[in-house]
Amino acid sequence: MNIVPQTSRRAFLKFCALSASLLALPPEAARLLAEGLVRRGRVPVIWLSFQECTGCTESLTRSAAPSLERLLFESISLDYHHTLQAAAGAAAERARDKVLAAAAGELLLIVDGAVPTALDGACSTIAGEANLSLLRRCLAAAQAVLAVGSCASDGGLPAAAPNPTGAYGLAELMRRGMVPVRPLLNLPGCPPVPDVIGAVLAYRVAFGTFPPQDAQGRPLAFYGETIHDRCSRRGHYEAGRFAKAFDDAGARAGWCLLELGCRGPLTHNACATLRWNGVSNPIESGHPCLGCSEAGFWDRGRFYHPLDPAELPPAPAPSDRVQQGAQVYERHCIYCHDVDPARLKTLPAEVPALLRSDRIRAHRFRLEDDDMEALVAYLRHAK
Amino acid sequence: MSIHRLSLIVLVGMFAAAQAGSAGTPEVFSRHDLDGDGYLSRAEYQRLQQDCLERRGERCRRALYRFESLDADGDDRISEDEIINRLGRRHRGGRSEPSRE
Ligand code: SF4
Repeated sequence: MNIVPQTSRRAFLKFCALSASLLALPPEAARLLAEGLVRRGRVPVIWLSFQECTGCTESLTRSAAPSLERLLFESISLDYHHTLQAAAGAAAERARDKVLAAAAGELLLIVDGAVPTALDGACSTIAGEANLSLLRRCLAAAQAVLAVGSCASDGGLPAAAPNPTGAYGLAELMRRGMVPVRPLLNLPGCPPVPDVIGAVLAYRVAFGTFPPQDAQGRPLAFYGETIHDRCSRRGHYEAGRFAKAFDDAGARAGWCLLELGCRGPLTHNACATLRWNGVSNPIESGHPCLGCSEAGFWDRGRFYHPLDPAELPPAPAPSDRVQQGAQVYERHCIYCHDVDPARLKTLPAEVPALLRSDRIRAHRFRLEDDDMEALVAYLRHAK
Repeated sequence: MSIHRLSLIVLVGMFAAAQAGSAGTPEVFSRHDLDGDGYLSRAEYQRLQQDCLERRGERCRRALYRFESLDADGDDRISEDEIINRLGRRHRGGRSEPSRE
């Protein structure tokens, strides 16, 4: 089903450059990606939705400029998708089965939702067929499978204790020998970041394989770092400034949400770098990370309770003012000034007054006093 | 006047200045803007990332936002407004607008 008109060549190349960059590929990869997408033509795709909330599809279809899903729909032939397809009823099921026969061996299968196995699969059926049976048939015809969202990756909410429907993610079903084994890539998240879905799909279509993965089958380019590694509140964490309640002065000032239950230090995902539609993420909106892209996150202790300190990465000694100042410099000044602070013309002692004056637009941030003092200490040390 | 009110006024002024400034030719705001066009291109930003890595180490490179995170309007270059807004948001806990307090 071709649901969008042809996009311009310029937009297409821009999409390829963006995807290559998101995937942390070398500069020449954008060209290879573009060539691959053109050469391979439209790859047949069947998207199955099982025990899910449709949040993953919402995430993809609400992706922002350059409208990744539009560009992708020109690179894939999305032949079956409950939410997006126009066809319904028996006609839709027949169309899917036709594709299964015609595209056997070259089909890319995408799955969101967990698969119930208890009660002979009666907990979730599509057109009278148990999810597990449908998944088996589709996997048999598939070349590879993409598990989109936490439910498809590791069972997610449906598999939370006591898991009454016997729900599993795809990897577990394969491990148990309950479905055919195919190359699998997991994109956990509740829901996953739309740009991640888009970039990974583009990579698969262009190169015929999945990008490098971590031990849990997640693409390293997006799940290689924790939320904490790139968090916008990290400076407050390092300086020991923590919000204690959702409406206290610290929360309003954007302090770290660790004591409100943030699981960012243990959660691997790209929310902190990519954000939804490039706009925001839970932490930036004032809510702690719930760790939704880590397996079994529903059952890993209570939400809104601080992590065990032993689980946290080591923080630098708070007494090291110069180190703290170096980090302030790296997180602010470096975008406009020399990488080497010794080359700054302004004397360290004059920096606070300059930063707090209105004379330079880019300096109008309210650095905490503590950070300001550390910055001055660092600049003195560097001179 | 409370500090919050004062910072609100400063921030509102900052946004107004950003709007007004967008009409004319942009001024050079960063020493990494090597061609002096008032923007950081992708190549110039990559060079900054590389510089950070070579002269300060991995921690510094990782502290930098990705190019795409700063290029809010997707025009493949970073303006001063985009940097101010992104860094300003960091200081407001991610809020894109000054808080109404
Ligand atoms: S604990 Fe959470 S809010 Fe605090 S810096 Fe880490 S990820 Fe950000």
